[in-house]
Amino acid sequence: MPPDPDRVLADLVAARARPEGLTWLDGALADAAAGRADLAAVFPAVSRQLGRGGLDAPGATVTTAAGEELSLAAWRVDDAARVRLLLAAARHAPDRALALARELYDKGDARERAGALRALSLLPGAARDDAALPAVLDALRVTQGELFEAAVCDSPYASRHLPQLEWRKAVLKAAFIGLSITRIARLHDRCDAELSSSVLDFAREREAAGRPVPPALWPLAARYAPPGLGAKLLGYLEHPAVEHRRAAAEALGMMLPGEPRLRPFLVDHGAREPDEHVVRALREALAS
Amino acid sequence: MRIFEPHAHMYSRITDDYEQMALAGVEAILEPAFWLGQPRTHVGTFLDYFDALLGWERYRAAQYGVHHFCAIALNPKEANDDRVNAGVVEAMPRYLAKDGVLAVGEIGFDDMTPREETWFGRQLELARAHGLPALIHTPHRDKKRGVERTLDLLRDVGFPMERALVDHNNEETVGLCADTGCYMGFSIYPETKMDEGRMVALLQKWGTDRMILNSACDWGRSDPLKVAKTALRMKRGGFSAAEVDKVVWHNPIAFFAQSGRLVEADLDARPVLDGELFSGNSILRGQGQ
Ligand SMILES: [Zn+2]
Repeated sequence: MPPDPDRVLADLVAARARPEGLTWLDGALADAAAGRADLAAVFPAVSRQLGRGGLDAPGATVTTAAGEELSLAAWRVDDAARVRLLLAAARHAPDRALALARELYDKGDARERAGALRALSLLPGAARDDAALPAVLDALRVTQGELFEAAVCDSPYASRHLPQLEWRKAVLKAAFIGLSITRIARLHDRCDAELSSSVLDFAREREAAGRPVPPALWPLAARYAPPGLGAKLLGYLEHPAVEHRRAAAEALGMMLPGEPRLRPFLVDHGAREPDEHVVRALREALAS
Repeated sequence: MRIFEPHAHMYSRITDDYEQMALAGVEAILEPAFWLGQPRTHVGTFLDYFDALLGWERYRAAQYGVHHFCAIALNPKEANDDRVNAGVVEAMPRYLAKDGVLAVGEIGFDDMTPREETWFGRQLELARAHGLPALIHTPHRDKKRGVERTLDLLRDVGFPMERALVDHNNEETVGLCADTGCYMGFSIYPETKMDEGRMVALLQKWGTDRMILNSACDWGRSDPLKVAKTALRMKRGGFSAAEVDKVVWHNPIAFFAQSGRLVEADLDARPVLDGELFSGNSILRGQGQ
């Protein structure tokens, strides 16, 4: 049984915030849990009271009610405190939790909005209630990357409820602005032929411009591999960057059932590969 | 030289201006809410504008390492418009609670109408209720009487003078303000209001206490570098570096720090750039970027 998300967040906030801020938060949490607090009036003060710095917990995760693991690496202290407030309010009125998060997004500044978005996957009804979807859609349109990131990355809620068209646009925009698309939940489950070919187009555009290509694109491109992709990925299997070799190995493994003639090239490279992660990826690819 | 620009309408400027201002030493900007060139007819357009001051403008500024703050208000011109005045003031409290909001402003008189007086007074009450100072516009026409009426109103409602920044002063009005304890703002414009040379003469005559310079740059013919240019003129006019710092950095900080939301040391750090994650953390960024 994974630990209660509120417990995890409480410990992380306690390690980062000032004592006076924590006392203030305890009062606000008690009011929220008793249904006494108007969170729209509480939310703006959270950053002032608890700080805006990173949680500094790169490996920390919380687990949603549906069992999805959610990374806290990008969270700030005020994000975690706002999520705790929403979890407290949800104990009082679980059916309104997602609608309340949307309302707080609408009324919030950037920090408040990020906090509301980060809460969505952890609130009651996250798996079925799309009441907060308008907030996610709004955040996909803004230029402030931090909001886009909070809406889409490490968010099972977004990946569950976004319509396919919007979800595809979100994946591409994430790649475009330099976020790791591996942070998008259900990436491979939801990837369709159109997204697969879009990411390959994006990769080619980057190559033509002599700009770096995010390696995480290769497995998505391989899902609906067009002719010639195998040869391109064999080239990336010789790339100096380990991440490119590893992603190319994974992608080639996905293509093997349809293109068995790629197999000897993988075997051949495996014999020469110095990096253990790539070797393991090749072994898994060949086993498939 | 570090500059705190205490009155700039960046909403009406291009992003290059942020870069130019940063190059000239501007490290923080306070953007007061004002009108948008023509009357608004819906309360909602004000709220979108307030959201832009809190979000988009802060983001644009942060890209150049500039801290962006704002003041929120129903401006004096549109205080006369019954389509919007009551609704905007009713919506203000939730904005006045926000982190980046350091004052109520611009409020004050423009044509000195009864409606302007009503909403000026109500917004001073809001400022007091939220523990915020007030940034006060004074009329371009009949300025002297406008400043007199402003000071009278502040006294009548018992608003603490040191929490009022009476702006757009000139040679005629500075004497009215000097002994009241209020902060005195001067908008340095290319043609009208006040220029660098006159400003230096004013500082020589009246001293540097509670004196604050701004460019008040907006859509009109204005220059976002006027504070830097005036600081340069001050140095040529014999002011020490410490005195220049006092006028273009410490005085505006002292005034807006009365909000309880501005800590000078926080200005030493780069502003949080929305969209910039914890850089260097490869978990967050696409590998190979
Ligand atoms: Zn102005």
